[in-house]
Amino acid sequence: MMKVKFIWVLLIGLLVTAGAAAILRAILQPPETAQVAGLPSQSLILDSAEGFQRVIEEREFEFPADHGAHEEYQTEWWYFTGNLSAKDGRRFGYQLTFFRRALLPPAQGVERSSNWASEQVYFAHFALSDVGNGRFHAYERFSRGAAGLAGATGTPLFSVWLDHWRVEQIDSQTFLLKASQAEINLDLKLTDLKGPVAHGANGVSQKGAEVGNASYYLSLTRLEASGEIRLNEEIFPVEGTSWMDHEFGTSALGVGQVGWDWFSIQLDDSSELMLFTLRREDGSIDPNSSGTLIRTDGSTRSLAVKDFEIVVRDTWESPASGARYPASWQIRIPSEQMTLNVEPLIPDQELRLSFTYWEGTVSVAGEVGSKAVIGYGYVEMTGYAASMQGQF
Amino acid sequence: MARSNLLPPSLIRLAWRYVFKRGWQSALMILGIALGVAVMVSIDLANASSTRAFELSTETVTGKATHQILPSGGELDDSVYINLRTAGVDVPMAPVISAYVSSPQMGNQAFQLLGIDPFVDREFRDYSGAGSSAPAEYSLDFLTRPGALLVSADVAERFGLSVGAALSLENDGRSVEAYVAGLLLPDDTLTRRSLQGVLLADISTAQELTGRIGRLDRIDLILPTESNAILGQIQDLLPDGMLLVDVESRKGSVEEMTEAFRLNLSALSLLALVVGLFLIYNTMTFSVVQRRPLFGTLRSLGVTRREVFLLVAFEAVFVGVIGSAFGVALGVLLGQNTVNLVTQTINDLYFTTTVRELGIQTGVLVKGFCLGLLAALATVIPPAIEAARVEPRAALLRSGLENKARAAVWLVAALGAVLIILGYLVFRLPFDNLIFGFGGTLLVLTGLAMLAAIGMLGLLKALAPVTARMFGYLGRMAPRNLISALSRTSVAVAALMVAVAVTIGVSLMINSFRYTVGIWLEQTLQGDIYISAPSFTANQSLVEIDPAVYRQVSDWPGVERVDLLRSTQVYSPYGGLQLSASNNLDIGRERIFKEIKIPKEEVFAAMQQGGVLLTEPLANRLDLQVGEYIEINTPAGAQLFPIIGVYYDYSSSQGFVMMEQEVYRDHWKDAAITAIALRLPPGVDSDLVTEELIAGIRSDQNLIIRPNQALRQDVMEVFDRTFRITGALRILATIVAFIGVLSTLLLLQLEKQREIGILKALGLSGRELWRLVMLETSLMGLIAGILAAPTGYILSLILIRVINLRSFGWTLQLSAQPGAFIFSIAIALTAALLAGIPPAWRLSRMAAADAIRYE
Repeated sequence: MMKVKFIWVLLIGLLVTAGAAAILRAILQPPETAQVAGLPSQSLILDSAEGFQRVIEEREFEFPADHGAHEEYQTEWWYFTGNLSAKDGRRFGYQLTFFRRALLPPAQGVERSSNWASEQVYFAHFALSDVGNGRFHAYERFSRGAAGLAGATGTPLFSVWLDHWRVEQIDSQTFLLKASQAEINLDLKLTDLKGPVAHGANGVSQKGAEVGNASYYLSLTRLEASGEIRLNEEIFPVEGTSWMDHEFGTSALGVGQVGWDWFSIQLDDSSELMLFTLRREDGSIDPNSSGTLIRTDGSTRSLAVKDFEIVVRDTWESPASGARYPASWQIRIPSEQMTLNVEPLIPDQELRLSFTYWEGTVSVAGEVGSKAVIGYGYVEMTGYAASMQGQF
Repeated sequence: MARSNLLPPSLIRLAWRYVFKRGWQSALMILGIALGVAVMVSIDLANASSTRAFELSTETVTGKATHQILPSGGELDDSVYINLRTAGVDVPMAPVISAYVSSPQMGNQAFQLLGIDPFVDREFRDYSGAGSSAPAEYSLDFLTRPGALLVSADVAERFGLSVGAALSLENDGRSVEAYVAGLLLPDDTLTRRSLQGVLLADISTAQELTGRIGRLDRIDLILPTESNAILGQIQDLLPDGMLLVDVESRKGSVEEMTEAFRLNLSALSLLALVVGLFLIYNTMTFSVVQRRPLFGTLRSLGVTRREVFLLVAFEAVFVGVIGSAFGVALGVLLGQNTVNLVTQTINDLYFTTTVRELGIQTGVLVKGFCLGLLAALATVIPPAIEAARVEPRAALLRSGLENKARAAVWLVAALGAVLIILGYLVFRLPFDNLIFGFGGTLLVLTGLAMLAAIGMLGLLKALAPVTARMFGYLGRMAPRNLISALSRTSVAVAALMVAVAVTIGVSLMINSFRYTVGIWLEQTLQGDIYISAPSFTANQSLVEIDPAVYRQVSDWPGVERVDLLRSTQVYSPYGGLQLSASNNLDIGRERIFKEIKIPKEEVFAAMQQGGVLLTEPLANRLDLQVGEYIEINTPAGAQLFPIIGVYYDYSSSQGFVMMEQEVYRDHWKDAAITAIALRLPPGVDSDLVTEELIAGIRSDQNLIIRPNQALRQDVMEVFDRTFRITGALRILATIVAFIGVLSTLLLLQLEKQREIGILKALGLSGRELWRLVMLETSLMGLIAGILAAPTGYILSLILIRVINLRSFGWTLQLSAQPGAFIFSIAIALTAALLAGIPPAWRLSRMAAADAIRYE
């Protein structure tokens, strides 16, 4: 009886409470806002490689215009590598690379009023091999190819840049290269001694069996370098040589290709050698691998896969990525009576950036005919940490 | 058993039975606690939500930035960023465009359009997540398609948007087309919530959608802690007028601004709980008094003092737990509305928040529950001690207790006077602190409540001859009855008085505020037609008006004069400041000055020489006086401007600096306009011209064109909206007090059953009894009402002169209209009369024998 009464009282209490709540909510009610249903949707998906030009036939190159960007092709890169030595003999290697990737062919771009709108994506890698200390530093940057943040041009003179990493031509033979990050500052003047070299068939460098699976490939194979490196607070005046590669096209690695090894070698007899091998999944070398020999007088000879032989004599396993890279090579070009032994100056020159690869300074010693030669070079090895398939 | 050590089961059963038996009594106590807790919880929820909304709307969007580069007025050219980048400033930097937009496809609510550069933004903000169908897949469209936006999956779901859905965005009165290019579904809930209010776009898209081609809103930076070298490098590269600002200090100043507002709400909500506590105290004291014989018997049966104490405490725990639980539940229900209201007010007064519908913070609920329970326990301690003091024999006589109470009246009154003096002294303390303000208010209010008993005694003695003449012997009996039960009746009267006084005080404050704003509008709004661009904040719009518009209106037929206003955000050593630049040459006559040293006619000329005016809240906030200088960062560096006057202004509680237009343009090289006032010759119908303007102005921008009257109404509407929550809290406090008084009077009368039975047996008729009861309760109501009038007046003075001034920096003209007093006394009387009905009805019908037999 008592409990029944209590429950009744509680119920009334609740009702009063609820009533009070209702009144208060009415007082507190904020104004309603209108709602309109969404419009029907539409799909916007584009095939990425379609609409770009492909490298099929030879072309006339004009410089410095062709040092600049070719946006009608999907991919383009500019590689600056070099071997330097300070007055006290301390050796450095450097790499400054600019990559361009187009999201859309220029024809498919829409007219935009913002300066920042761009279909061009740039990224750049900057690495310094401090041989004396056995240290290797690598950095990367990304940007859109717009608003002056990043870009490449060949007119009136060549320049390529991303933020404050920049290579700029100041006259027909001279380029200024500047890059800095963290405690490293690189400031070089590069003087071109030999002029542009077109690799492959007059610049068409085939990368796979398929037509159009090729790139235009140009190099400045002997750039005299002088300038300074600032490392922490220390300043090293340096001198040495540099190499510039410029490649563009709309190709990807062919089916079954996983990566490539690339060699650029500058010998003390003023000749240079470029070789690349495309590696297949099964460990074999793709028949489209090739190279170019640039003689002292500037004349060139294209090398097909059958013309050279590369024997790996040692390997190095990256403790960071677990990838096992070749770490010592013997290169033989029998028709030139050339035998070169190539050794990295530091084992770990692995760039662990958005993608992982090995690129570093090497020393070279060997013979051409009966004459002993020495030199320095740069080696790039991709696809060891993970296949480059789909990346390029 | 450990539990039986605390309280024997038999006693627990006793307590239970009492709680159940006195159903009404218990239910009323529960209701009192529940309402008090509910108000507190709902306000706490709203406060917590608005703080979180602010943090999520701003902070998460700021990301990990430690510093920002901002323009002090004027614009941030995107070349500033590009220069920093190409000059090799080696710290993470990200360009940002941030604008408020709305879309009919998204409920027309405010969203933050955040333009970022995805190539460099990752170090600042990470919106991607494993669950996102973005951003890699969408990066192509995001970068290359005009109008491409990424929205959070939650927002898309809420508004039924799928990838590809078109969105019409409204920005600064312009319509632009965009579409959903992809969905974001970040892994962590915090980011997800912050994305509720965000539309993410590439910086190029954001520039195009907002029309800010070549411009940025800010540059975010992450600077290392020891960064003097880099700071110097950046400062050297920055053009004049660009500021490098510490994010923390910027965030802090906004939080400070809303702090006062939130504190005010919390204080008001606590008031509801305090009023609720009166109710519990009252009821518990009554129940203890009623059971004195029982406690006496228990004591003689060997029950210890401690056990009696615990018995009463146990009842309070029971009531506290149930009441607090109800209160928390009700608070959550109410919270849905208070959150919106508080957020709305913050949007009106301070800044735009884009995040709404936040989760319920468990902490707030726990705090509400515990506070309710603790309050119930604390209030019950005095009556529980009283119960424990009961001697084993059948207790003191009630009359003895009442004699003691009457003696205490003087003591309590003296204590009350001391508290009032203390409160006054607290107000005179040199700190301009709001907490001290509330502390002082509490002291004064408590002091006044303690004076209620003596006031009641005096009033009863004064009224006794009057009632005696009007109602005969009943009129003599009623005051005597009330005096003889003074310990109960005075508490009830004090509770009712406090509640009514709060109602009066808050009403007077709101009325005065409204009155002041009315006068101010009258004086300030001298234009006939006002033109502005839509913005998300209710006070001064910072949105620029299409220049084509003021070129058109200056030649408009019938327009006599055009006054232009430019309001913008600038920076100063004090932090962000709002600056308004006007070309109104009558400004000296059209403002109400608090402080000025030159004739009003010369104000404009002095401003043309570079002098500035400050509004009162700004002068208060920065502690600046006429004759001093205010330092402001201009594009040419920091400049000192002489302060020639301080005037009253109620449009913003942050306040602003008023500058002459040409002076502003000279310094900032900025000809933009954010408001236009048109003056028409006498006799021209402003409604007609408004219609012509609406139909005739050619611009791609939607404009708000209002005649003076409509603008005034809109301002008053915002005003009323701001005070809706205060008004609601006032009503709540009144409801709680009403219930409290109802229950007290009810119990008081029921307690007297026996006495009334005797009166009945002595021949008093049911009708006479009815009149006696009603007379007693209405006397109590009347006394509470009379005492509430001066108390309410004092309270309103405190609210206006101390609380409001310290919270918002506004001086209000006190407008004491009799309406508020009459209404409040009417409430008190009604409550008292209503409370009299049930016992009067019951007692008058009860047979004399039954009434006496009751115990």
